[in-house]
Amino acid sequence: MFCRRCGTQNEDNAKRCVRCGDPLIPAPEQQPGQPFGQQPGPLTQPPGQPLTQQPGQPSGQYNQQPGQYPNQQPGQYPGQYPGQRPYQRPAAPPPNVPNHLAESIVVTLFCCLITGIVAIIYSTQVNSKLQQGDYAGAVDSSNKAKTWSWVSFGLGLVGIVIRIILMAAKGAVPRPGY
Amino acid sequence: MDSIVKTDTTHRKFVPIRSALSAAGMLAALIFLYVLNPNISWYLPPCPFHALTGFYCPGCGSTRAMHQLLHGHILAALDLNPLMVISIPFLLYLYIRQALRQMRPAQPVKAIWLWCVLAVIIIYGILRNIPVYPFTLLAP
Repeated sequence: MFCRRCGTQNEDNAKRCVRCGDPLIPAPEQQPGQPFGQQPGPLTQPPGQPLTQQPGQPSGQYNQQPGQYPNQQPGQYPGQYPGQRPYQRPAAPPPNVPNHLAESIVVTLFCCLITGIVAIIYSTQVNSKLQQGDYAGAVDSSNKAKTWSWVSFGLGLVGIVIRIILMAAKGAVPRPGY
Repeated sequence: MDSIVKTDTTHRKFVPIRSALSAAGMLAALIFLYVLNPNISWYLPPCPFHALTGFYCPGCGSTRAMHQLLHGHILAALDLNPLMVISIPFLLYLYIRQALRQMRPAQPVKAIWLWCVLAVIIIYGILRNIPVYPFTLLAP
């Protein structure tokens, strides 16, 4: 299982990411009956079972002792009154995978066309894969986009260095422009 | 799996340093381009794609255009590489958005728009090689 925040691979049964500590959200079919209320909708109240809450009774039952929940279902937290929707985790934050598009375009325009285009293609793949839910693939493309951006940048720098060496070997006088 | 662990978002405490370093690098490059005129200075190599094939690439003229832009000659810059000049505000927006993503993660842009960007760059690279009037405006 991959952390949605930093992309680190964790043990399948890990609760938190080993690197950044973010809670890991397992896929619903992997761990049924998790107390996080992964089952969709208000499934905690099976049909036909009477509601214990009486009309007029305050809904927050603060003084109840543990173990007094005859109707509690696996998806409920202690302190949750029957019929309440199970605790829903807040929606997962947007996946945080940089696509490095800005750098890719800059190195394409200023350094090296071919490797820059490769970087742009990988940048685009980051968002394509995120759209398909392929988080690990998106992280992989993100890293490749970054690598190819740096390759382009390096080629541009090497080009400048080679140029200066060649011109100096020819005995040209440096002209700093105006 | 090594490539997955090595994403830069894992080293979150270094993000401000990285941002500062890359900003300093860009500033140095801009000063370099302000001082050196690529037309007459031989420090800057010609476009390798143009040297090899004789065709203009989408980036041909961008260093000269940037030099003109830094000196305030916007029309001269547009004449050399219009796409580069037009893309600068978008690139700045993308860069800032990416630098801020740790503080405000945003929903990723739909991939179709990024494919459009790639298509625009490639089509622009083809059109500016057509030696007929309206397209010659795109050539450097």
